[in-house]
Amino acid sequence: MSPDRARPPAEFSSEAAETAEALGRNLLLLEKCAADPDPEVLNSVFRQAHSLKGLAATFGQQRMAELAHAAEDLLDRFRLGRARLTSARLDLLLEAVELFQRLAEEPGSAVDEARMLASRLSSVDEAAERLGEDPLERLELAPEMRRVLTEFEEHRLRETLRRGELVWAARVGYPLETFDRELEQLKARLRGVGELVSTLPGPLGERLDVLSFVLLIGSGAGEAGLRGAFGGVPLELRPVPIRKERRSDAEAEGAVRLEGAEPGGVARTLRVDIARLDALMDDVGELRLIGEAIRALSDARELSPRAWTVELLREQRRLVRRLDILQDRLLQARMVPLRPLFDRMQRLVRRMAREAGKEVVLETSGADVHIDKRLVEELSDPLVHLVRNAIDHGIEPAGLREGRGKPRAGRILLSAEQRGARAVLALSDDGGGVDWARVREVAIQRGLLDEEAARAAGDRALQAVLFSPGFSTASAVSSMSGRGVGLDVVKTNIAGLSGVIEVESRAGEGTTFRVTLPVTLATVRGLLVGVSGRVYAVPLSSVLDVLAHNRQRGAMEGGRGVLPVRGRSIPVVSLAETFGLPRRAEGGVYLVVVGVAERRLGLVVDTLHGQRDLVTQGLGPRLGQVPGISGAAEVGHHHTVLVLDVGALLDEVLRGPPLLVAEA
Amino acid sequence: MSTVDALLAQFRYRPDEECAGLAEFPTSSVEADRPPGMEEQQLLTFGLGGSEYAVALGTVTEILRARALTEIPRARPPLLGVLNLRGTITPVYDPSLRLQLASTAPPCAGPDCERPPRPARILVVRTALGPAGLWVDRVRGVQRVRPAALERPHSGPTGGVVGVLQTAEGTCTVVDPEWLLR
Repeated sequence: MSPDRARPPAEFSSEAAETAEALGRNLLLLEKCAADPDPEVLNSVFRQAHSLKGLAATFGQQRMAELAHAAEDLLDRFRLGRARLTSARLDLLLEAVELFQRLAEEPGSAVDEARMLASRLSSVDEAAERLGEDPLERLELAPEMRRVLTEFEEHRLRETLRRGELVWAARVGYPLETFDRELEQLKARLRGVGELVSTLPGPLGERLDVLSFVLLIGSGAGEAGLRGAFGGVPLELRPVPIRKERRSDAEAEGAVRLEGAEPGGVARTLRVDIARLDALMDDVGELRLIGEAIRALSDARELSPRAWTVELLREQRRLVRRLDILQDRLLQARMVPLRPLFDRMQRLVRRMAREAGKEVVLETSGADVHIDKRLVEELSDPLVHLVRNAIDHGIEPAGLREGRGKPRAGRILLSAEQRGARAVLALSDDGGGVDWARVREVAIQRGLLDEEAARAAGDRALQAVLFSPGFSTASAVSSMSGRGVGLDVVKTNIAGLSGVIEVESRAGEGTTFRVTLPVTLATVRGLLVGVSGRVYAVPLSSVLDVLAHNRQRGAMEGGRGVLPVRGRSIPVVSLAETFGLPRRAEGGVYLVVVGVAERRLGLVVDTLHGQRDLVTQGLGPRLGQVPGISGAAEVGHHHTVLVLDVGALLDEVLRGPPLLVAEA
Repeated sequence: MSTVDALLAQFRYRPDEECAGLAEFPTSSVEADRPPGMEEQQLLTFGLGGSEYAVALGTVTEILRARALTEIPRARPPLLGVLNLRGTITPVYDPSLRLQLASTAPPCAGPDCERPPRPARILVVRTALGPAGLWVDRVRGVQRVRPAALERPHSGPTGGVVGVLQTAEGTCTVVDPEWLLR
């Protein structure tokens, strides 16, 4: 067993992960001023790499130490001006940050990758000499054209690019009898504007008496200047695009690998302020006192039974109060800021945008909002999915954006905000938006809505369609201009956290996904309701009202209806009917009014079983999304109750016919 | 005492609890000095109605005493319900539908279901989508077989049937657990 595989203490993991995170943050800062790097930032990045190296060496993490050493070395060269900070090199360092985090979390997990990356980092200069710095590699010239270039022509193109000028491709036709003279004249006219590097035969035109050419011209002048040199001959002129960086095989491979193996990013260990731990200790001390008081009470034979009961109840209340405080404090201790998650998204956007060949800027706000540690972890995957969706399907290519009068670079805004016991995360892009007409069409095609329902369907109902499994897995839709790939999974994940996801989108203007979830997950307070002998839990955060249900108050047909409740008409459904359970004659006596955002729904139930703190769990990947159910919780001994997904029930009622459970 | 009871007696069952891990399942080594190169396969045999079936032992992670499940509203057969397996919600399926032994699943969840019969067990199998349970009428034991002893199925559903085994007790059909869940 190599020393790397020995599990280091948890403090190593958390400290290494945090240092790597800060390192990543600073590298992104550096990127913003890559041409003229801020020496302050450069120095702190260097120091962070250095302390990672020290940390890894202390804990015998050989691979990590080597990788950190290579990173430190390269950063040192940047710092001393011995090497230039380029985008490709920054990528390499960011890749190292990802690896640091993986190694911190699971030492020995990526040993080979670490070794390879370390050698890539330390051979940055040779690599630059050998492949990175041939500017011709970055010129997006058709391979068949590239093949016929002479060595001299290649050399001239290289020089053009080195001077920072562009290579233009011009397609032009000259009469058969005069073409040689025309080309000579062109060469002369181009003097001072550019250089005619290569004259290649063009495709055969319609006219046999005209020869077409593809000319490669190196020029620092603009298009107008070049066109002038051609003297009004009809021509197609465009610059040959230059790739931002050379994409080596290793890099391409790295991109694929990182896609799946994105490290958790957030360490599994938690740092807790010592003051908080002290407070927890105080609570424990208090509990001990209560325990002592109860013991003393058991000996108190002089008390009358009545006085004894009173005393016992008093201690019991003290106990419950203290346990509540203890629970609150523990929940507080579990709260962490969203910043690491947001930082990770920053790196992700950068990489995904590059892969997609788009320009995207991610802005964040509210990174200081604190939510439960586990929520941060579980939020990561859905968020990655949404960001990927925004980049792949939302943000248009730069050219198209310009045509639509938008800035070239797409903008994604990730914001968080705390509202009471809930956090609201919003991810907006200024991309193409959802094509609702198309959604409607596909929904009919896939049989998710019948035509009548689809016509009548409002935005809310169509939103629900967007998140339903039948919609998103449809291959017919994945190529559609909007979204809808895997959104059902996102919704399931969010529902598993007792959260709700909503989408708002205008075609052409962009899309906003809004996720509302509780800030703590450890326990969810639930109201237990009974229907036809079954028990379900309704998250108390969405229960607005509990009323006696008067069946005479309004007409209910097929278990559905609209009833006036406290001066407002709300849709009401019988839960038994909705779930297809046998209805009981004596049932349906309570009306539980639930709501998410502005929407309201009345659920008719048979019995109420009080409130309970529930630890909820998802239903797992095999069952996936079960309509109307967000998860399960254990109450009492071996008794599992299902937790209602209030958001989904609302969607379902607004949409019409009930759904059946999708089989895995 | 039948073989089944003898085998089950080796387990320490706690009511409504999972039983010991399969590693402790006693497997008889009938042929200690069998010729090399004859790879033996271990099968877990179980009964459904009057028929005997088997799955590869390696796919089964646990055997639970059958208990009332939590019903999933609007679930379709063969899904019977879910149970909480030490914090993991595990769906339980009725294999008899897939094997065409029955056309409807008996209620095993909800308030209307009866107490499961004593020998009924839930086999927890490992799948790509997490653990899943198979509700069986009884567990017979572990059988070691050579692959050559498996015959091709003659009739009946063939989709997930790996082979048929002739034992002293009768015919035993070896099936792919993933197929039973579909």
